[in-house]
Amino acid sequence: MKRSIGKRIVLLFSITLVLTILASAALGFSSAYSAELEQNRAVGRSAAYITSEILDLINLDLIMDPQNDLAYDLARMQLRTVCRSLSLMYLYVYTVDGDEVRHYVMTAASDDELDEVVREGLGLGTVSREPLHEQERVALAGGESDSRFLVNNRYGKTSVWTTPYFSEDGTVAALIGTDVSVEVSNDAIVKQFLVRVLPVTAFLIIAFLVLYYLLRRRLIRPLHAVAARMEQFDPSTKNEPLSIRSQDEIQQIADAFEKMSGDIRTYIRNIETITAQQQYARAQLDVARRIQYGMVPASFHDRRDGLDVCGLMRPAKEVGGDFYDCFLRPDGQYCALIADVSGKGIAGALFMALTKNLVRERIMHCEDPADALNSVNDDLCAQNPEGMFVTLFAMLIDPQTGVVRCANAGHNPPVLLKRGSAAYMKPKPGIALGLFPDADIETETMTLAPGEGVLLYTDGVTEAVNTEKTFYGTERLLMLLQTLDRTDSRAAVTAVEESVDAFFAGCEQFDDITVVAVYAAGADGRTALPLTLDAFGPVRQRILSECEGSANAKKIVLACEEAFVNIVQYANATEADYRVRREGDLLTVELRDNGARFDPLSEPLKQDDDFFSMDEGGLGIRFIRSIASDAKWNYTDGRNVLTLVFRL
Amino acid sequence: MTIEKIEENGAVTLKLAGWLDTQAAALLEEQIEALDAGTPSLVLDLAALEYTSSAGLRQIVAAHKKVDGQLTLKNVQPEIRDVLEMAGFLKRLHVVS
Repeated sequence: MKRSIGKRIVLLFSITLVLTILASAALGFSSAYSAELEQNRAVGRSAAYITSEILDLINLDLIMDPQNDLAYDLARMQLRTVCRSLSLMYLYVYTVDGDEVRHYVMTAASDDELDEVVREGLGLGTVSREPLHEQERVALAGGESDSRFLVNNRYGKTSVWTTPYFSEDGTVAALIGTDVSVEVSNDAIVKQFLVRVLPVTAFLIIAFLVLYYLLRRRLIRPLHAVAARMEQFDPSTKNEPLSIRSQDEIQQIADAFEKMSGDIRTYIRNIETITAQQQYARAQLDVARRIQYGMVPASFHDRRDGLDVCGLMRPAKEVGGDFYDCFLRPDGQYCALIADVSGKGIAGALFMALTKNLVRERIMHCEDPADALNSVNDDLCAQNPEGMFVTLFAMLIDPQTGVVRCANAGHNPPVLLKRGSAAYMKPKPGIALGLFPDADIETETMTLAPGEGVLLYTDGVTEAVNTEKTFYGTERLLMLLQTLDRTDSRAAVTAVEESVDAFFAGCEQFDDITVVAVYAAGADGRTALPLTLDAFGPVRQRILSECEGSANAKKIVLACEEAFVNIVQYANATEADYRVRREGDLLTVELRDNGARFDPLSEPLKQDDDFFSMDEGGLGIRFIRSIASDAKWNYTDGRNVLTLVFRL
Repeated sequence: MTIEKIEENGAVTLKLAGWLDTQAAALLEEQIEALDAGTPSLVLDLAALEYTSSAGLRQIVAAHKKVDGQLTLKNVQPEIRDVLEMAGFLKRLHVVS
């Protein structure tokens, strides 16, 4: 604390005190001075009056007569008596001639030694040519000056008072000078001054000390006590109440502080309780979230005869409501579905769990997907006190024929994927499940040719928002899917995930992102193969992903490329397809074409000696036979079928 | 597939990188056809070559003919070496490390 109130009060009081003392000293001095001046004047006037009487009585002319010593001595004796009785230093009578020269008549002094000196030194007949001073001029004119006149000469320092002596005819016959010792006069002034100033000063100092003591006791100490209590405030311990009973503002502060610290303790206790409750609730929510996402795999990939399915769900920070499900029905139909539950939090999680199990159970048991969804809707409407709902798109695909039956319950329209093109499907919108008892969802049918697919997604994809507050949007999704050059479900899902990630660019993901891609590989898992060299790209990717990590991967690609290039360049085919199947560490690749009947395996192999004709061809077949652990060719239904088996 | 051509005192080095498949072989073919008839020597630097098909190998044979056998293969990676071996090329071609 740099500036305490105590120090400030002391400083303020000291300044006030000094100023007061200075003011009272100035006043006291001026009053003592004027009192002394008045005293001098009164004494001078009295002395002059008495002296005038003496001069009148003895007669000035007789006194000034050099022959009449008696009158002179008598007058001087009388003057000395006056001088002594009035404590004057000198009392003298003199005349002033026309040349302003003083002619002394007589001078008396109180002090005996001085009197001896001035009896002759300033006696009858002595003159002084000192210039006349103001008092003398005023006195010569018959008046009396108010101003003090100080003389400092060989007779000492005196304060002079000059009065005229009038003759009987009223003219100024002589001047009477009364001198008071300046020393005496000053002593008197000082004495007067002290008498006036000292008691005031002493009173002020005592008053200040008393006041300061009271301030300290009543204000500063209680303030310190309150401040110390505030500094040491610890919400966890309860202090004894402050013992300030001053019934004033300080006690008001102390009481307010006591109340406030009590309130703070209460608030802290409340906050601790609330925080504990929140932690508990959050832990519960986390458990709900784990259970919920445990029901939906983060990623899923299934490649089977005729189908290539990949699913992905990336949950948002809070519990969202997306889910997808992919499963094979006992009748060989494959179901892929995607859904978005309206609510979030625990309610959403519970509703999602209920819906997911219900939907799977109904689709397993109803032949028709719309029947299944309508039945789910009836159940949800009957058991839905919170009025929650779920949008859902379900498709049942026959892997052998590529026939798809789908049912839409108010979900985003899926995208139909063909090689090099993509378009939004236009299913009947339907209505979200759980809202109205008669949803009347209808089944629609279409067929996927080999290599065609469907991409299902939730609005977490199209309504992803980036830092510039723009939506990812359906257009962007479509443009992305149009650039896909592979009929590979995992590639499609990964492309969407990476594109949305790039779009977010560090922004927080607010909603679950869920994508499911289903490609029909055609009956028996065959995929159509365009007869251009660049069509081998997807085949190569497919082989590489099937034998991921195998040291033989590139050799297998090499053998397949050679076989494919032979078809494109020499077979004169118009249609071709392929299928890839992995069983254990064996990879089977089957290539079919409707070109000229040709058995590549029966061709005689070129020998190494034919090096210089190698640039004419023949190497490819040599590679196929070297790399494949088993190779078969047959000609069935107008098609060459080359089956290559590789060991990974 | 990228091909970088370096010429030094008439001797040519082609650095092949990436996948030399049937389509990419056309690029190599262009390079080899563009070689001057009297090119004293040709080096194929295969350090960054990841894959070759028979079409690529055919271009290597073509190159060998074009420079009258003054062809050297350099920095042949194990996977490429296997393919050359299968084709029976290792006996005929000058291969350094």
